[in-house]
Parts: sequence; C-alpha cells; structure tokens
Amino acid sequence: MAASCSRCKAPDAKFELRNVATCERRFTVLQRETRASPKPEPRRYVAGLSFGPSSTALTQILDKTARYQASRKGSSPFEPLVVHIDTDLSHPADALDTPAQKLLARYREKFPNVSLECVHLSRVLSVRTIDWTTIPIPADGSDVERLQQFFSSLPSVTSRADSLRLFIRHLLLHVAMERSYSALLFGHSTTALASLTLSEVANGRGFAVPWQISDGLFAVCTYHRAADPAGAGESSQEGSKIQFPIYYPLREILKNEIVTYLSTMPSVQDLIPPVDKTSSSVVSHKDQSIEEVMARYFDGVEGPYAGIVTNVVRTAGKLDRLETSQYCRLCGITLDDEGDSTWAGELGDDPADGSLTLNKGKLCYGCKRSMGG
Amino acid sequence: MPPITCVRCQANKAVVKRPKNHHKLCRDCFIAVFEDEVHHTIVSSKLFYPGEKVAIGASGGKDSTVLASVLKTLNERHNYKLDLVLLSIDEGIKGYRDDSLETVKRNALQYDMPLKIVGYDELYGWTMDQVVETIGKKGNCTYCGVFRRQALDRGAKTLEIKHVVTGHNADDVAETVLMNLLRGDLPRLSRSTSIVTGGSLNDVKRSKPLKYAYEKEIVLYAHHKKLDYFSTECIYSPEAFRGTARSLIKNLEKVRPSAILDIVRSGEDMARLTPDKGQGACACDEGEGMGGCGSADAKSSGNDLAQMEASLKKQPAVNGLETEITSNGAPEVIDSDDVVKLPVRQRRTKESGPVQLQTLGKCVKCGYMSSQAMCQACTLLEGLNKNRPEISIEG
Repeated sequence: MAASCSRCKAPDAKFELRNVATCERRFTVLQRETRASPKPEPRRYVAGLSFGPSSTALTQILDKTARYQASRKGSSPFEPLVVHIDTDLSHPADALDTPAQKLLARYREKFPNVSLECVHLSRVLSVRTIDWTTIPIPADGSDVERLQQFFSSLPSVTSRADSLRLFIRHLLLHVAMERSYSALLFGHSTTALASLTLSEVANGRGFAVPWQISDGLFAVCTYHRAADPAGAGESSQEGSKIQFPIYYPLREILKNEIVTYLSTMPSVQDLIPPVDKTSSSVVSHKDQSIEEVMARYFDGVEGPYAGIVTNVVRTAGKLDRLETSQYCRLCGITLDDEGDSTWAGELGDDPADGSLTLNKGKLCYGCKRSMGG
Repeated sequence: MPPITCVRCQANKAVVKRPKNHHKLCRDCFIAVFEDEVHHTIVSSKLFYPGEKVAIGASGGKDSTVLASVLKTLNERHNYKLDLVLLSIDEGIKGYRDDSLETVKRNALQYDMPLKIVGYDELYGWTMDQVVETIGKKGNCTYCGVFRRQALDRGAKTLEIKHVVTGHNADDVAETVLMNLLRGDLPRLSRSTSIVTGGSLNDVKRSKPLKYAYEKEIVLYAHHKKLDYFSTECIYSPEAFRGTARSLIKNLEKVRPSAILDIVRSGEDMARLTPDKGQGACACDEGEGMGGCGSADAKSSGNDLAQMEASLKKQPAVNGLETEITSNGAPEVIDSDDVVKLPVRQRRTKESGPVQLQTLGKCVKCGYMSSQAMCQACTLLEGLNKNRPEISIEG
C-alpha cells in the first residue's frame, strides 16, 4: 500500500505527483519547478492575486523568495508587489474596510516580505491601454456607476466575465507599467491556462491564444483621447507602443498539485475560502459563462487525464504569434485582417447590432462578439 | 398571448426560434434564410464552377439529406449548372446501413439524381459485419472510418467525379477543432477547418458546404421541409455522439449560441498559426460526414479522453512546457532541498524546436495518398486478412 517516495525514497508517500508517489517533504520540490522571469535587475515584479489557490501559492513563493534574497548579501533587490483587484462594485472605490481589504490584511500578516495592495476595478477607467471610445461606457456618473451600467448593458454572462477578465489584466498591466516594475506575473496553473485557451477559442479569439498564454514580451499600445471636445464620439489616437514582459510562473503546475501544496501549509490554507462543493453540480446554463463551463470541464479532466491538460497548453504554445500593425482596442492583441477577409460565417449575425460594424477594424472578432452578443 | 410575428417578413406567425441567434422566424423565412446562408458559403468560397460534376456523399442521415435538398434547390435557383450525383457507401451493416440505403434510394427518386453505391465488400473484401465478427465491437469504428475515407474517393473515381461534398456541419467542425487541441494535433488543427480539402494532392477534392450551418438548424430544416431521412444510430457505436468534445460543445452552445461559430472562426485563424500555415489541407481525417456514425475521424465512442491520455503517456517524456536555459548555457544543477532558487532563464526566440511537418506520399499497395509507406486502410486490411488466411482477396 503505502508507497515510498520516488524522489527521496522516504517511506509513506502521501501524495501522488504526476502519477508518481511523493512524500510530503518532497512536495515542496514544486517550488523549484516554478520559474521566475529572466534576470532584470533590480527584480521588481507585480503579481496578480485573486485570493484563489494558485495566486495564493504564487504569493507564498514570492514571499519565501523575497525572504531568501534579503538574507543573501550582495543579491540584487527583489521587490514583489502583489496586487488584488477589488471587483466589488457595490461600494464606492475609496471605501475602506471592504471584505477584500480585510482579507488582504490577513495576507499581509502571513506574507511580511511582499508588498500587498488593493486596487479597485473602477481605476481601470483611467487606463490608457484600452480605447474607451470603442466600447459602450456611459459618460456620466461616478466611475463605479459607469462600470456598473456598462456591465449591466452587456448581453450575456459570458460577455461580462470576458470584459471583467480583460479589465483586470489591463489594470494589473497598468499598475506594473506606471510604477516601472519590470514584469507582470500571473498565477495561472497549467489547468487555468488550458481552460483559458479553450475559453478564448470558444470566444472566437483563437488568433489571440498564443499571445494570451505565452511567457514573454507583450506589445502594449496606448490610446489618447481626441483632444478636440467636439470630437467626443471620434475614435482615440493611437499612441505609443511598448513591449512589456508577462509571465506565468506556475504554468507547469496543475491546479490540484497547487491545492495539495497549500494543504501542506495549514496557516496559508486558512486564507483561502473553502472550495464551493456545489460547483460540481450542474446549475442553470443561463447564469454560466463560457469561462465557467471550461473551468468545470477541466476540473473533471484534470484528475484522470492530466496529460491532456498539459497537452492543450503545450499545443497552443507551438502556435505562431503573428504580429500586425494594428491592435484590438479592447483586448490589446494584434488584429487579424486576413481572418476577417476569409471569414464567411457572418450571416445570421444581427444586422441591427451596431457594434459589429461600428468598430470595424478596431476590435477583434472575439471582442466584437463580447460587446455585441 | 398573441402569436409572435416573424422578425423577417413581419407578416407570418413565427414558428422557429433560430438556434444560432434566437431570431424568431416563420417557416418560409427560416427555410429561405438557411438556404441563403449556404448559398453565401458556396459563393464566397467559390466552391463550384459551372458544369462541374459533384458527388454528394449521402448516408441517408439528416446532414447529407439536407445537403442534397439544399444543393438541388440552390442549383436550380441560382443556376450553378451543377451535375449532381448521390454517392453512398455500403459498409455492410445489417439492420442499419441497409435501411438507411433505402432512404437514399428514395432520395434519389425524390431529387431526381443518379445514385451510386459502393460497398466495403467489393472494395476491401470485408463487410463491417464480418470485421466486427473478427475483431469484436471494440475499436471497429477505426476500421469503418479508415475504409470510408478511401471508399468515397474510389466511388467518385469510378464515376469520373473530382469533387465530393459532405454533410459536415458547424458542430462537426467545432468538435474537430477542440479535439485536435485536446489531442495536441497541430497538422490536423491546421486543415480541419478548411472548407475544401484534398484537391491538389489527390484526384478527388472534398468540400463541406454546410460548414457554417448549425446541427440544430439542419434538423429544423429537415423537419420543416419534411425531408425523408434516416435517424437511427449505427448499431456498432450507439454512444458515438456522447464524446466529451461533443458534449462540451453542446454545453457551450447552451451558454452562448454563437460559441459554435466562434470556435470555427478560432479554428480557421489558428490554422494559419500552425507550422504548416494551414496549407497541408488533405481529406485524410474526414469520413464521418456521410457515415452517420458521427464519431469524428474514427475515434471510438465514449472513452476518447482515456485513449488520448494513454497515447500521451506512451510518448517519450517530453520537456515541460518550457525549456530552461541558464545564463551560462550550462544546465543548472539544483541539489539543496530547502533553498528555493529561482533559475535565471533567458528569453528564447522560439518556444520549442521545429515541429515536424507531415509529408504526403502514396501507398505502395493501393496508391492512395498516405503519409506512411502503406496507407491506413491497407495496414488494417493486412491485419484482418492474416486472421482469415483461407480466404484470398484480390486487389
């Protein structure tokens, strides 16, 4: 029964790692399989924190690394900033003592070697990497109200989830660039990347997949609002383009491995809300997003068929990253003119839906779909 | 509650809610819209030329019956000047194919088209009933799928036809896209979404005019046109439609109806990102479009994920998702347990080594296109024939 650990030969291997019995101590080997980004010095990273298992594990690893680096003399500075984007639009942007901030305070106690910060989603409206004239954001009201109205105007749960994900990505990127950090880290596990890959495919953004899930430099285009107030409805001017590195350090680790890893650290595990057991039962399809359908699918696939999960990410990584001169003004990924010209499946799209034609040449297929249906 | 009027003609009572976009249409408008969309597909992809002789791969199932009906209608309405022929494959499955072939025979009369039936027994010396008797029910779909691919081509050749159209619909194409991503099959990903396959590499080209048509709309079209089609599943793969990629697609469709077309679009775009840039379009992974068994390229029913996983494990241990290059070029050896050392990794110009491209040659035995010395059908036949040495098969 109790197999011995295949790595250190200690008896009583508690865990199975990639189908190989592994003892508790060796499970921390996982840490070493994570990779930080290349050597920019000083190493100043921004990492996203959703309070889920993966980003919590990433925070823990950054904390441990920072402590180790600080203990070494002569090591270049290692400054991780972990940012949580508060997506709760039910309170004003400057509210204190929100649930997110309370939870973040507990993270601060646990991880003293990293800086933690809470940024409210409404800050996204000041981000220049989205051309706000291409999406239906109301002009009046507070930032929180404008976002609320925008989300409620979207046609489906999937559209809302998709826009929210893009906003969070843009905002984290904005924080990292604005404060001259050297790279942006996401906590996505292999499972999350596989799920993101297929979600993007199902959202019509197949072209963007290699950009979305690969490590490395990412072209970021910024837009300036038209200077002339009379031209409020006009599109924004394309501004500067810069390259910014984005990394997924946990890309080689499956979600259930992260959960097991955290289970070896009870003090950290307390931070993570208990897994919602109801998530495995089928609920109404109306209230689900494509993201959720995919996540659910991969939760089921990951256990018995871990190789397939890895395979999806590996396959998507082999796709070319084509670069064109134009970028989608919402998701920020290079536009695919050839795809638009060869596509013949557009019939049946709602002709009354202005957003499909209005933003021709500005939004990618998937973003048009997100705004329009 | 007053009846809802059709959004298109604003006159008649709406009886159809389009699965694709939830527009409410009357019967006539639905049929007109469906036909217009197939016409658009044909015109925009320049599928046919005037006077072309085209074989419709006909199984008697809903997809191919709708395809035959729509092509006949459009050929007359838009004067394509096509010479349409029905081409059916008789796999030799009693209680299934013999019945569906009766449907095709009625279709031939209804649509006034000539019908050609080619049988597995005459092509290969084996009926599927005999194959199943020999190898059992497990894995027989592989044989059937491989045989069908060639049978269509050979049937077309005997009719001197260079173009076969199949009933693949948008759901089929979307399923193939997802399957190939799950399987990590880049060559197939690159060609699975092409509307026309084969052609330059092979004497017979294939196309799928219903590529953008939703399966649900095909069923509705068949229903409202009162088409005569056969809807029993193959007796040897009763659960063929319950493949996991298929059920995933159905779930996605429920959440957002456009998802099927969006996956097709993604597949088209990703094809241009694969190492062979979508140029290697060949017809070798099709077959289900007219088989009625619905299990895409001969994967067997139900447990395809398990099979995929098994074959992945068999592959030699590949590198992780990333390759690691240390700053001095030498692999970094990490031996201390408690030190959490983050290796320095340089950016690579290319994600991984060159991906092998498939090259097509011809089977040494039958001359059919093949990436191996001997094509799949001949390989399978050799195995089968070994098991019954007393019967000799010519050709």
